[in-house]
Amino acid sequence: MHLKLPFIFLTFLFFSISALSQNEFVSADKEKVAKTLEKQSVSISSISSSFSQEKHISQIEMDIHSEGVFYFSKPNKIRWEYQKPYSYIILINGDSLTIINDDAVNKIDVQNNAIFKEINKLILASISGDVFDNPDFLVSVFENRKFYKIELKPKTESISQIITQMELFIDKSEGTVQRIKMFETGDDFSEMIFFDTKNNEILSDTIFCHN
Amino acid sequence: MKFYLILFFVTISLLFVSCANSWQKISSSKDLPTAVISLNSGEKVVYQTFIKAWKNNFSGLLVFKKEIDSVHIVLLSEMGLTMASYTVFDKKIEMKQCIEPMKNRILQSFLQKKILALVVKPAVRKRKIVDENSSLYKGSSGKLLYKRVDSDSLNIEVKKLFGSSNFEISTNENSAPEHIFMFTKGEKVTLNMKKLNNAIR
Repeated sequence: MHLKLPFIFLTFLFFSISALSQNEFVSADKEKVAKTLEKQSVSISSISSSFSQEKHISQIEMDIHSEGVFYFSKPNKIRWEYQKPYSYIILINGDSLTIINDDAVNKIDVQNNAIFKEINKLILASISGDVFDNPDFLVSVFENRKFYKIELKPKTESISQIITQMELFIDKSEGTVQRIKMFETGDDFSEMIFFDTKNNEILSDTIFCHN
Repeated sequence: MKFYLILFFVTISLLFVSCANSWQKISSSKDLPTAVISLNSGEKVVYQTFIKAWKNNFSGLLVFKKEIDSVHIVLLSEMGLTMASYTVFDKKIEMKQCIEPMKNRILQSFLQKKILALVVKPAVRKRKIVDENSSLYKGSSGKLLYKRVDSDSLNIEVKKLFGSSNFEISTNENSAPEHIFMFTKGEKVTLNMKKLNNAIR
């Protein structure tokens, strides 16, 4: 009986450590991951997903919660629709970016707006798994059993003044982004979690247009 | 005799009328007007906000948190990025953080005055009742007119206290502001705010 107890304890400890190590991220081969994701992204023509977002404001120790739906259609169409706490829609269709806020519609020419251009490029690249060749970011790749974690640090001053680091968590089996964490100057960060993701559904063009 | 009696009553009535419309010193703190956004210590509130400043438009969330001796205010974009943050101590405002596109000196000066006018209790000492729905308050540097339009809307006109501003406020059943529209005659800066009740976690 006295011998059995330490044995059970050690067995439990061993399994806990091995389970923990499977979730821990270790450095991965960038070239290999890039090739895998590129292969997976070829088979994806569209994505539709729900998302929830938590914004942590460090100065006042407070979290703001929002949620909505997200649509992507190759090569460069995005509908980012916040439904809670209020309606706010971002439509990206090539170089045109439309923001619908309540009833107000605001059109932005992405090519003439450096920050939007960078963010637009980054969103499209991260969704299509094409973040590795982006010269504006320092890219590091990690992996665990289920996910690839891609860390992006902006090299351009205009972006680094707003975002200090982005982390993309990509599901290894699906090749789609499951989580995005965005770190800002001043310790604030946002975390977006995508769920109910469906690949290759037929998405009508009207989803990406404002009438 | 009758003439003197009538004269006496007329004089007394005039005295009452003139007293009702004259400046009264505010003796109790409960008679002082509160700040437009008046919070208890630890209380947090979020407003969906549109800022129109000349040709620039900003929209997002304005988050307020009251501490014991200060109010923290954070301006977020809809996607959650922190655009600017401030701390208000008594009548002083400190900018803690600000992203490059918001760093315009004139814009910041206007914005900070508007924020002060929203959260700081006006320093007034005298009150004059204009009519049953309106009161005028006077401080050393300016005046303030409170006008109750109906049971759930209030207009406030501030003159020279943190600059001059007009507020059109819709209140809820607890008299807390649900919708605030802030403008100043002759200025091209407006703030349009709508309270969000389900954003805080």
